[in-house]
Amino acid sequence: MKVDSTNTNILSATSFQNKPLNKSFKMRQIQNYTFTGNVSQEVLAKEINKFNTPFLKGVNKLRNNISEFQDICINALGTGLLAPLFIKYNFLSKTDEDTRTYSAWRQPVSAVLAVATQGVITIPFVKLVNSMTNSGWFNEKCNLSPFKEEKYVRKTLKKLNPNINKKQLDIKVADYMDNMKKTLLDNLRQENKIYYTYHNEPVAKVMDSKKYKELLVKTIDDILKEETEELNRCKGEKITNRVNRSDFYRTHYEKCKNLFKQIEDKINNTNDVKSIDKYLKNLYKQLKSKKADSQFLEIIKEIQAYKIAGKEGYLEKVRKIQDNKHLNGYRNLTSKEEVHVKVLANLQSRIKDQEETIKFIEDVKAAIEQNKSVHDIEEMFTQKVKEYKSKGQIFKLEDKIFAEEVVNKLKALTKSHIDGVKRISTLLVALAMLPVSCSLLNWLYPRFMDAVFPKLSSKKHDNEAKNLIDKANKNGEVK
Amino acid sequence: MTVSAVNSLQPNKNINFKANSNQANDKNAQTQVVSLRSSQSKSSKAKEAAVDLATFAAAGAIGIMGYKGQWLQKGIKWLSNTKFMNKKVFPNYEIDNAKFMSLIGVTSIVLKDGLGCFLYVKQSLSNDKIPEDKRKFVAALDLSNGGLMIIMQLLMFFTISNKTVQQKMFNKLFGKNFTRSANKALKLKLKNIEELKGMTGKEFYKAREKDKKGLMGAFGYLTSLAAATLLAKRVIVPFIATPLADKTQAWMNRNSKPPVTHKDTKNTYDKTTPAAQKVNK
Repeated sequence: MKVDSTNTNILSATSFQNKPLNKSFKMRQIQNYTFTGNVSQEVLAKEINKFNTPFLKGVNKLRNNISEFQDICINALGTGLLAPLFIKYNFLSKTDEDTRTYSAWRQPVSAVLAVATQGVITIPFVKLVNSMTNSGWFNEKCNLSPFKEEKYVRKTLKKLNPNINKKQLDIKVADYMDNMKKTLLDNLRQENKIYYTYHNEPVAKVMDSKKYKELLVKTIDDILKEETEELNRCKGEKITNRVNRSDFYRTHYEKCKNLFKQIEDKINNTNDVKSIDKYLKNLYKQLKSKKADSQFLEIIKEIQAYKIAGKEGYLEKVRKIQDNKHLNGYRNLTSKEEVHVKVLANLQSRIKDQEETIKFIEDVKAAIEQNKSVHDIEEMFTQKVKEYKSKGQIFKLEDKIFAEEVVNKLKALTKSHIDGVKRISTLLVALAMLPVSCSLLNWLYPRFMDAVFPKLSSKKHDNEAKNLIDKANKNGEVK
Repeated sequence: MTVSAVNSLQPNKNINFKANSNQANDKNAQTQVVSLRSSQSKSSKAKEAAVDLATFAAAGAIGIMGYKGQWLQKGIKWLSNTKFMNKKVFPNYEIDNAKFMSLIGVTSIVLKDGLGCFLYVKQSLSNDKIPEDKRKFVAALDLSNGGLMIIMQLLMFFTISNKTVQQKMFNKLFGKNFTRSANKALKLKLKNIEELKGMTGKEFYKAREKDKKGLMGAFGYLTSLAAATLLAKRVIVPFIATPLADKTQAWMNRNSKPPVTHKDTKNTYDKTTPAAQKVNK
């Protein structure tokens, strides 16, 4: 893809990003951004990976480093190195070894051709489709111009500024990406619109209003689905385990208290996480050998899982077990029935909360149907949060930012469409390439064998005709 | 082959191949045969080269025109606007419809491997450059290999490479790292990091879910690579396909007479003497 032809898109995208915003809107923006997440998902992903097991870290590393071309190469290595061995040294076959050897050599030749054809056709083809999605070749369904990919932005900015170094380029890319995201959200909130840029068209176009409304409905439907699933989980929750644990706390209050105190002391007395882990393991073994109640063993295992969080993690867990929602919450109850009633009441309260949340989402959906804007919807969320806060409660969807949800949904939908285009178009390309690669193999393979293994291919040399004629003449006839 | 090629020259009146010809005539005829053969071969080679050149030139011209006219881009754009894409592919991809994905996957395997197998067999059988005695075995191997590859790929598609199976395998092997307690412990640990102090529960679970999903994808890729791509396709298939090719070859020859092979073109392969030298002995 020619980058020059796409530059207009980057430039035109930046041009409408710099529209002045009215003051009151800017104020609302500042208020809205207070809901925005504090930590970037990239940073979080990196930190999470640090605590994965070495094997999982390795898998993650591989995931980030294996490209499509390497994938093709691994495949080709399998074809070129493994398959021939199982053809040549196949004791089950009755065909003579030289014919098998001759046939086996077809595999490496085809592997080399596969790398060549796929490297030349498939990979550039996928790259071309990617580039087309970013540069506005497609209609709205497959157009990534409102949220261009970082790779594309980097490549284009590098072409536009060939003399800048990597650090400067990083800054430019980060600025562009931030600006693009902000513009998209601003347009959603301020104008209730999404702009697309198209290939060779300098002016950005607004997303079709019918499709825009459909997008908002799909976004709220996703939230509704998520919360309905949670409600169903609550309704279907078997409280037996919870009742058993709570009743165990009630009946074994002193024993539990002593045990937790003992564990807490041990944790407080050392900074060495390994020794705490060892202590917990020994404690588990001791309790098991004494045939202690299985609840004790489960609790120890739960505490052990906090090894990754270090000393503070262990301490927080042990203290939490002893708080009013757990150990101390059930000590004054007199029977298992009472425990059951209390656990059930807690669950009912969760179900009620969930139902209220769903009712709110349904109201939002109705508002969207009545053509309310993204800004109006966000206002509904803000009011609900305030309402809950005034009652001293926390609204379950407090950290949902509707505009961001819309953007994420649109991104996901567009990417799924692009995946569809890639899947079908690469299949068509592969089918179209088959006769070519097949003919290439058919042409190359016997020539390769003649050149490299003349004995194996029983190659007829140029002088052979002469020899045959000589021989025929000597014998007095040509056979 | 070569003998029949020489025989085909006999109608030429200028050449006399009688057994009782004198030595001089024979030599003359022989020289004529060789020179005619060589001149014919030269002219046919030149023709072939001219056809090849013309084909390449035409392909190159079409390629340049296509590049300038952005035919490929227009073609892909056209595809994305088709009814099939908009009514069938996009809606199913939006909801990640497993059944539809399977259908596409199976169609892709059958079409690609099926067409590939057909072309390979057809071209191998008609490839004069492959020695005649080996040609049918090469084609038979292509056929059995292609058939087995389709069966094996479908088998793998529904087992080891299947998303649900991979999810189960992943959970069995690494599930303990993603339990509720493990996640809570990890969240607690991350909260101790200065940069992540303001992290909310939702942010953590979103990132954790993404991490798990990515790991599952990579794990799926690795298991597919090890089991399907390397073990099944490159070890099991050729291992079964080779003896099966004997049977396939016999099946292909079921209606044909035993091949008449000139003794000089018999399979003469041995590791010490080249075939051409053997003829001269």
